[in-house]
Amino acid sequence: MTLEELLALAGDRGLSELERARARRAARRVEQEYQRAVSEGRDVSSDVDVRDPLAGEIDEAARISRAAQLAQLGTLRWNRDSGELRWSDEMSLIFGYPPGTVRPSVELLTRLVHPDDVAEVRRTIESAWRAEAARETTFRVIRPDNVIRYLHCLIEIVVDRNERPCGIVATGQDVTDAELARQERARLSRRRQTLPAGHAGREPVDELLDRPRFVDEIDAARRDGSGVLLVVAVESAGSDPAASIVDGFDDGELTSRLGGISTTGHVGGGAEDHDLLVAAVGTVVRRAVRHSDVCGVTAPGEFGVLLHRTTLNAARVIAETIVAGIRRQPFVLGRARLRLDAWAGLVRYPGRDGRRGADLLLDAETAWRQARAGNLRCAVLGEPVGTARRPVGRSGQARERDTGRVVTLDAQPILDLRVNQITRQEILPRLVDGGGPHPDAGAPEDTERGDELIDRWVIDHIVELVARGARTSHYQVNLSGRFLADPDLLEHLQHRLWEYDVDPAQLTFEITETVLASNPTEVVNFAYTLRQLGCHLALDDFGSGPAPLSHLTYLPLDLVKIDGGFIAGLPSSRPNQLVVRSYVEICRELGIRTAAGHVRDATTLDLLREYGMDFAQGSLIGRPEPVTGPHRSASAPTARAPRPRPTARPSVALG
Amino acid sequence: MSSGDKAVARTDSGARWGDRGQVESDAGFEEFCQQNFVLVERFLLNQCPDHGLVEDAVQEAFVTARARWEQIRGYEKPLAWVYQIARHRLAVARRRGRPQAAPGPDEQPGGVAAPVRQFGAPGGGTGGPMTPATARELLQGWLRQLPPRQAEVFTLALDGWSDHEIARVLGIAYHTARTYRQEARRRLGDLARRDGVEPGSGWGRE
Repeated sequence: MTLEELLALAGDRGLSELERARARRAARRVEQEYQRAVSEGRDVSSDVDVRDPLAGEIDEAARISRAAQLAQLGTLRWNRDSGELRWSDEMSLIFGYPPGTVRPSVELLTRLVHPDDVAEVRRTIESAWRAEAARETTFRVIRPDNVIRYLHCLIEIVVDRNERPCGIVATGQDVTDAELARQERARLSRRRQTLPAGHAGREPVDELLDRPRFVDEIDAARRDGSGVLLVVAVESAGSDPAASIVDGFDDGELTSRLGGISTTGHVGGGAEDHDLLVAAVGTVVRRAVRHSDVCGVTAPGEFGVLLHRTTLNAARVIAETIVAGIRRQPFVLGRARLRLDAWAGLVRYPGRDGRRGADLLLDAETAWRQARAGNLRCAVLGEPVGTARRPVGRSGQARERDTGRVVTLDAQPILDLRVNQITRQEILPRLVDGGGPHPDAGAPEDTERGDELIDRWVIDHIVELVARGARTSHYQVNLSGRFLADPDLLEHLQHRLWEYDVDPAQLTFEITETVLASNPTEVVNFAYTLRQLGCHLALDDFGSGPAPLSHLTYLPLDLVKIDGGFIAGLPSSRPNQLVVRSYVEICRELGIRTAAGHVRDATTLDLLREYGMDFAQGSLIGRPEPVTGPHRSASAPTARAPRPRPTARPSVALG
Repeated sequence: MSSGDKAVARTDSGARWGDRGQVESDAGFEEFCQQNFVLVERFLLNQCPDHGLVEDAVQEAFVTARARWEQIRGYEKPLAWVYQIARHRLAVARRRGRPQAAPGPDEQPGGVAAPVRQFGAPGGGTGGPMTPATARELLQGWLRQLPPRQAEVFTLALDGWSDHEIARVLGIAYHTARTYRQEARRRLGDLARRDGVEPGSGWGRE
C-alpha cells in the first residue's frame, strides 16, 4: 500500500457503526449540558466570536490579528508600503509595556530582542519574505525591567487583493515556562549520558506487570526514595453494587469485577475480550502517568501505578484523572459497549524503612475499597500529617536544650541569568548566641560546635519553609560535613519531605570540595542517595581544591558553584576570566548548571552572562535576610540577635 | 481533492447546513452534531494525544455551537466555526494542564514512535487489511511527529478544506496554509518511507 492510498483511506469521512452510536450519545450529552447551562443561567458562549470565519474580511493582516486576539496571542504587523510597524496590546504586554505607552517601531523592536538573537530573528524574517513562506522561531526579548522572556513567533507573509506580498504578520506567545522545562529536560538527558553507567537509574518498564513483579518494583522503588502507590479498581457499572462490596479476592468478587465480566454473560467473548479490556483500561491509566511510571495488573480488574518521587497532591490529581477517564468513556467489546466504574486508592511510601511492597499494595487496596464504600473517586490511606499534627515548637526545643545559642535561617536571593529573575534562594542556617551572629552553622569548620539537634532543627525548618512556599520555587542549602557522615540525618530529611509532601526536586543540597576531599567515599554514597531521594546536588567552592574537574565525571551533580576566588576580581583578571569561561563550557556540555557567588558589580555580572553562567548570587543581587513567614514560631525571633539590615531591597533590575 | 466544496458534500447526508431553513432548529442541530462530532474529534486527536482533553474540548465546542445555533446555522459551513471554537477550547485546556504535558508550539512531542492501537478497532494491529480506522491511526502517529501547525493544516486539507478555508479556520495566512500543506506532505513521505510505506506522489503537491 502506498502513502497515497493510505491517505485516501484515512480521509474517508464516513463513520463506522460504533462511531455513529458514539456520536448519537455525544449529541445527547451536548443537549443535556446545554439545557443544564440554560437552567443555571450560564452563558456558555460569551467568550466567542460568532462571525463566520469563512466570510468577510479581505485584509489578511486584520483577519490574522483578530484570530490571534481571540486565542490570546500577540501580533506584530509590518506594512511594506508605509513601512509602519504595529503591535497588539497582548504583544505589548509580552514586551513588558502597558498597552499604548510606547510607539512601536523597528528600532524599538530591535532593542527589545536579546542581542544574541537579533541576527537570527533578522535572518528568519528575511528568509520568510524571500521565500514568501511562513517561518517559526523562538527568541528572547528583554523587557524594560530587564526580565528576559522567551517568545515563539509564527512569521507570515500576507498578500493583497492581487495576491502580491504586502506585509508581514508575526503571531507570538510567551513560551518561557515551556522553554525552560525543555532546557531542563535536555540538560538531564545530557547528564544521563555523561554519568557513569550503573548510577543512571532504572530503565522504564513499558508493559503491564503482574502482581509479583509489580511488588518487586515497589520494593526496588522504596530503596530508591519515596513516592505514592496508586491502585485503581474497575468494575462494570452495571453490576449490583451491594454484591460487589466484598473483602478479599473470592469468587463472588471476581465475577462482579472486570476479571469476571467476560464470564457473566454481559459480553460473551472470553479471554481475548478480557485482554482487550485490560489493554483498553491500561491505556487510560498509561495516558495519565509519566512514561517512566511502572504500571501493573495487580488483580483482576485492578491496576497498580507506582508514582515514584511524586507528591501526594500530584498523585491525587493523576488518580482523579484516571478515574474520571475510565468512568467517562464507554469501552467496546465486539458489539457490546460497557460502562465501567472505577475507584482509586493511594498510599504513600516514605522510602527505605517503610512498609514492604506487598503490604503497601494491600494498603492501597484497602484505600480504594474505602473510596468505593464512601462513594468517593479516590481515598488516601493515612492522610498526610495535617497542620495541627505537624511538628511545632522545634525552634523552642533547640533553644531549651542549648540555651546559649539559637539557630536562625537566612535566605539569599539567587538570580537566574536565563530570565534575569530571582527564581531560587540559598538558605543559610546561622548559629546565633547572646552576643551576635556566628559564622554559618553549616560550614564544615563549625562541625564540632553544633549537635545533631541543630541539624534536625535546620532540616525541619527548611522543609517546612519549602512546603509553605510556591511549588515552583527552589531552595539551595549548604550541608555540613556531619550531615554526610550521619545516615540518620538523611533518613530524617526523607521523612520530613514525606511528612510535608514536599517535592524533593525543589531542594538542592550543596557540598563543598573541602568536605569531598576529607571523606570521598562517604560523599559519593551520600550524593547518590540524595539524588535518589529526588533532591538536586551542588558542588560548592568549585575550583578551589586540587583536581576539581575529576569530580564532575563521577558525582551526580546538577549544579556547580564556582569558587568565589575566581569571581571576586573577575573584571581585572584575564586568567580568572579564562578559567571561569572554561568551567562554564565544560559543565554545560556535561549537563551541569553553573552558579557564581560573590557578584558585587555589574561588570562581573555582564561577564558571567556572556559566558553563559546560569545563576548569580552576591551583594549586587541581594544580601542574606532573615527568613520571615509563618514557619517562625512566635518564640523563635525573640532570641534572635538583631542583624544588620541590607541597605536596599534586592534588585531584580540588573542589566 | 483539496477543494473544500467536497468537504461537506461528502458527509453522510450530503446536506449543506443552512440551506435547509425549513428544518426545525433543534432537530437540525442534533443531526449536525451527530454527523460532525467524531470528525472534529479526529481533527484534534491528530495534535493532542490526550483523549480526555480532546473529548471535553469537542463537547464544549458543540455546547457553544448549540447556544449560537440560530446564528451559525445560516453560515455556508457552520462546521468551520465549530473547528475554530474546538481548537480554542483545547488550547485553553492544555495551557491549564501540567506543564510537562504540553509541549511548546515549536516542540514536537517526542517518543511517539508507534501510534497506540485503538481498542476495538476492527482489524487493528499489523497484518490485517487496512481500514479507514487503521489508516487514520497510522497517520495520527506520523502527524504527531510534525510541527503542530503543519499537522493541523494537513488534517484539514485531507478533510477536503481548501487552502483559503484552512487559513481562515486556523487564523493563518493563505500562503502559510499552502506551504505548510506541502511541507507536511513532504515530511509525511519521509516518515512513511521510514516505516516501510511507499511514499507515492501527487497528493498535496500541485
